[in-house]
Amino acid sequence: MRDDLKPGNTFPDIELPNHDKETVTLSSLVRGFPTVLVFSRGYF
Amino acid sequence: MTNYVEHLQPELIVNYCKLVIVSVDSPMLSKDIKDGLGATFPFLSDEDKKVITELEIVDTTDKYHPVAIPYTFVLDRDRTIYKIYNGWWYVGRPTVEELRMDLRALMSRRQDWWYDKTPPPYAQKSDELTFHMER
Repeated sequence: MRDDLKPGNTFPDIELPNHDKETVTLSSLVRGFPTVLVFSRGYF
Repeated sequence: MTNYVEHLQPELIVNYCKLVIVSVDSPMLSKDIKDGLGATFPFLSDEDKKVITELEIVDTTDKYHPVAIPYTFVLDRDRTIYKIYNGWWYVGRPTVEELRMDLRALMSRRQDWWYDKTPPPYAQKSDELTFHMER
């Protein structure tokens, strides 16, 4: 894991397509509320 | 994930907290999984592994199918990292109860957490907790 990913630091504002193929930023989802961000192994 | 849909999702709706999933699945597969679970939270698709590579959280155990190491980040309102769970071992993944405690800790930083008046000993000034005090 990258060195700056530790408690107290700001998580990068990642940008990815969602389940509807719309590109969204993490900040647009957080919108000022506590957020649980889960990296899943997925199902492939 | 089913435990999150069943137990955490109803709480998130009333608690003003968010849950976001990232995987290397395609958006189409993510939508199938989301709909199959009955999830209302968003699923993001890092199909080309760009983000998990940048964050250095790629599991290359299976070199034909690199996936994310199952980290869970609990973020505050401004994306400040509050807690990190390493779910490489299944037992490392946060339970619904642990996430509830984390979200409670973050929500209780809000000035309107105490509806009427902040009781002592919580009504103490600190850098982190700026409650409205009336004495």
